[in-house]
Amino acid sequence: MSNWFTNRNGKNPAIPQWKAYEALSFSRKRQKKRPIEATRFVVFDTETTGLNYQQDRILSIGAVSVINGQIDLSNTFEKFLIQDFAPAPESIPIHGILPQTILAGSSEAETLGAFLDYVGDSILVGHHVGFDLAITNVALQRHGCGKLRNQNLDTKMLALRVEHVLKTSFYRPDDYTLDALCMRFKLTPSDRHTASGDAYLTALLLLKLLYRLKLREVHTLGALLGS
Amino acid sequence: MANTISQRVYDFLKDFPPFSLLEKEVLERVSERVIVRYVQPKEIIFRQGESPKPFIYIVREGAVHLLRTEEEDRILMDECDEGDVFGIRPLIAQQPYSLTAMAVEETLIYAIGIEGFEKVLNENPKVSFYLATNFAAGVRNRFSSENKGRIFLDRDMLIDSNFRLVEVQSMETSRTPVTCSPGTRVRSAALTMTDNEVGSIVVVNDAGHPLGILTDRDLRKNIATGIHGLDTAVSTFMSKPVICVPPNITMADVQIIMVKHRIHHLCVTETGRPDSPVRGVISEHDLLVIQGNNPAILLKEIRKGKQPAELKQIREKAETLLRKYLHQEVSISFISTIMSEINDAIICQAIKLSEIALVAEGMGPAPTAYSWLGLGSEGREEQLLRTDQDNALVFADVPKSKEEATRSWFLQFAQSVTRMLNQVGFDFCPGDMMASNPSWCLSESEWKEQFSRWILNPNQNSILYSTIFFDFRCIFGDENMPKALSQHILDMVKKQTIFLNFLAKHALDNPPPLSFFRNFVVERSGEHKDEFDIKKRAMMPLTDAARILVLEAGVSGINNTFRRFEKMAELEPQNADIYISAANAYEILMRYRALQGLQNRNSGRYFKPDELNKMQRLQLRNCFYPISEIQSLLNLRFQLSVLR
Repeated sequence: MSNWFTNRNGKNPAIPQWKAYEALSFSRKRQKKRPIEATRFVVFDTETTGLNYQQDRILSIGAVSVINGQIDLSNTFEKFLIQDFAPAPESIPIHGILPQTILAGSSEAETLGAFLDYVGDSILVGHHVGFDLAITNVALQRHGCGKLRNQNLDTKMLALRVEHVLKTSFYRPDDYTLDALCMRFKLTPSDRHTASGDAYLTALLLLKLLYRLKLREVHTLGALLGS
Repeated sequence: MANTISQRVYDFLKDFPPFSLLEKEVLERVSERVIVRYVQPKEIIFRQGESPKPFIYIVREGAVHLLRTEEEDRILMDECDEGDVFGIRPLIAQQPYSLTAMAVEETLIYAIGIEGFEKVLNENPKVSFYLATNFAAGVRNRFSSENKGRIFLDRDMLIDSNFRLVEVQSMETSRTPVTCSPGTRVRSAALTMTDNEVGSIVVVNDAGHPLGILTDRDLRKNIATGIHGLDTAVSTFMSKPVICVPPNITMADVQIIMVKHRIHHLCVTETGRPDSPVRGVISEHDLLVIQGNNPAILLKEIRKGKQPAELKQIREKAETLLRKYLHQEVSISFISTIMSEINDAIICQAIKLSEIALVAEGMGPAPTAYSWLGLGSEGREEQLLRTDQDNALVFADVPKSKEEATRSWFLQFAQSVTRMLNQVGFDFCPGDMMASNPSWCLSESEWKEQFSRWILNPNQNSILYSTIFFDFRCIFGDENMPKALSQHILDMVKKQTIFLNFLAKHALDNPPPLSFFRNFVVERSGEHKDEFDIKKRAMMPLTDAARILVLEAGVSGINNTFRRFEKMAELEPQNADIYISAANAYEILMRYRALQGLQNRNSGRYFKPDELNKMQRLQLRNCFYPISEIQSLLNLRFQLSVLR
């Protein structure tokens, strides 16, 4: 394993897939007119050692892709990572990742590489996606890479938009947790607090939200991301 | 399995045929290739006439309609909900779809690629067989008479060793019967009985056919008391006629017969008729030996009970019995007979104790003849669990001068009885449909006037009352008054036929729940929000329909809903299919409600649809088809579209 301290400046990325990823075009202009049905969304979630994206580490990444209302289970992403330190015992009950699972996993560089391949130029989606993007970006930079360049979509913001609360100045944050939204949109939560389970649930939520936006004439990626 | 999500898909699929028939590894591979598809309302999944797609589908959540388009019309052929498989045409034949599949609400389906599945089929003949039989046949065939009165229980529930199939076992009569001729003197008959160590001897003619039976009890009553001498011929006081049963009779039947006739010995003959040779004797004692807890013992205990608390305990024992019967899938007609006998006995005992109490308080005995009537489900002999009391009282007409005092005695009396029943665990009726209410404690002529009023001026209230009161049944006391009341109702209905149209209109107020998961089926608000009301949505439509049909046919004396349908099937052979399937559906619903009630320790009326497993749901859903058929029959017969 190469020493990541020397790679920090991004001069010599330790993830071979980075090059191909960097070469992709993320032109917003080009994507603007694309119909939502023809768009590939990658809905992802990370389980981490904590909530500090600067210091904490990724324990697992789960992702599914959504194209035209469909999730193909033969093409999903699920990786558990080997980290230098074991998860804090108190976080085990929440995400259920035991030290053994982590030992059986892949290295961070390996995982991130595979993830870049999986994501490509798709739209990245998550619930509170900002955190997942931030911790992933820190990890990428640790291996000498840059930040993710994909356009992204937060299902929480999307739900606020669907329910018209954006225009009012306040709302109860508790009503927009993944659990609360699942309840409201009649999704049966299962495998909560596993990266894959949450990603899958978020993907279903995305589909329901997209349908509601479609009823309000949101048909293209531009209309979806632009506002 | 590699992936968490596929694992969940696997967990879901493994409960539903045909996937439940696949081997674990095979199904795991199938699950990994599933495509989860979100379908919006009105979205078409495939169209009639389209060439088949390389998928079969199963509904994960939501509902899909299968429609056939004929000329301009779209006809609903089936509705698929959670766990239903559809669009399997590509698996069976390379032919275009014969139906259109359209989501009716937001729906999640799993699309399962058939690529590779054909191989699965070839390797799993069970699966091909399942698909061939289930999808070649129409939906209606799933509800066959083979499943009469049966419901699918969880496997764990069935194999519980506490529930042995005792009641439906065949009785073994191994002992050779002890017999004597009619001319035998009592002394020698008694010697024969002693020598053989039996408690009874069958008196037979030369051909060995039973003429009567002599039991220890007969000897005690007739000889020990000195009424007859020891040299009397047994034929003088033997019990006769003797009730005969065939050799292969089940314990359940033996019980019914003993309870019904209040006898303790049955004679087994070769054909089950008195004109064939005796094979053996079944005594109540034999039954007791075979099983511990039994209705006859409970009835005996009830008749000895002095305190409501005692009766309550016995009624709780009866519930254990009920549970056992339900798990053994004993026929509902047997179960309801037994449970009604037990309920009736408790009510009778409460009545007797109240009579004694009133005398003790110095109010004296009943001033005139009366009859205690059970209403509603108790009247229909359909009350398996303790629900609300519904009762009424009719007393004989008395001269005007005595009316006041008579009424006040009966009201006091009814209050005592209903209070006592409440202590036993039969809750007070929230609508106060009880004999303690002055409106429902009336003389015979007052009841007739009341019934006439309801029938002649049908309005919302009188129709509602009719649906409760017209199912009355005499539980205690004079039997002629209730009969006269029934006849009165039939006579009035004949005169005022429009009444039946109103009653029928009321019966159609609750359309059948075509599918469980449509939101309109579950209660939308109130205490039972999101629960399914099996009584209102499924049972009442059938009960109401049966009542109207027998009223129109002029049949009285049959109160039980499924027996009413069976009677109708007899009277109208052209509609027999509909009636029989309605009777079956009703039995299943009763069984289901009782099971839910026992499980949740309540009346079983409400439950959450998602607590049911697939088979239970399928079966309940199949019960709904007869409801809609019966309702269209009513609609046609009473031409309700005109009224509505």
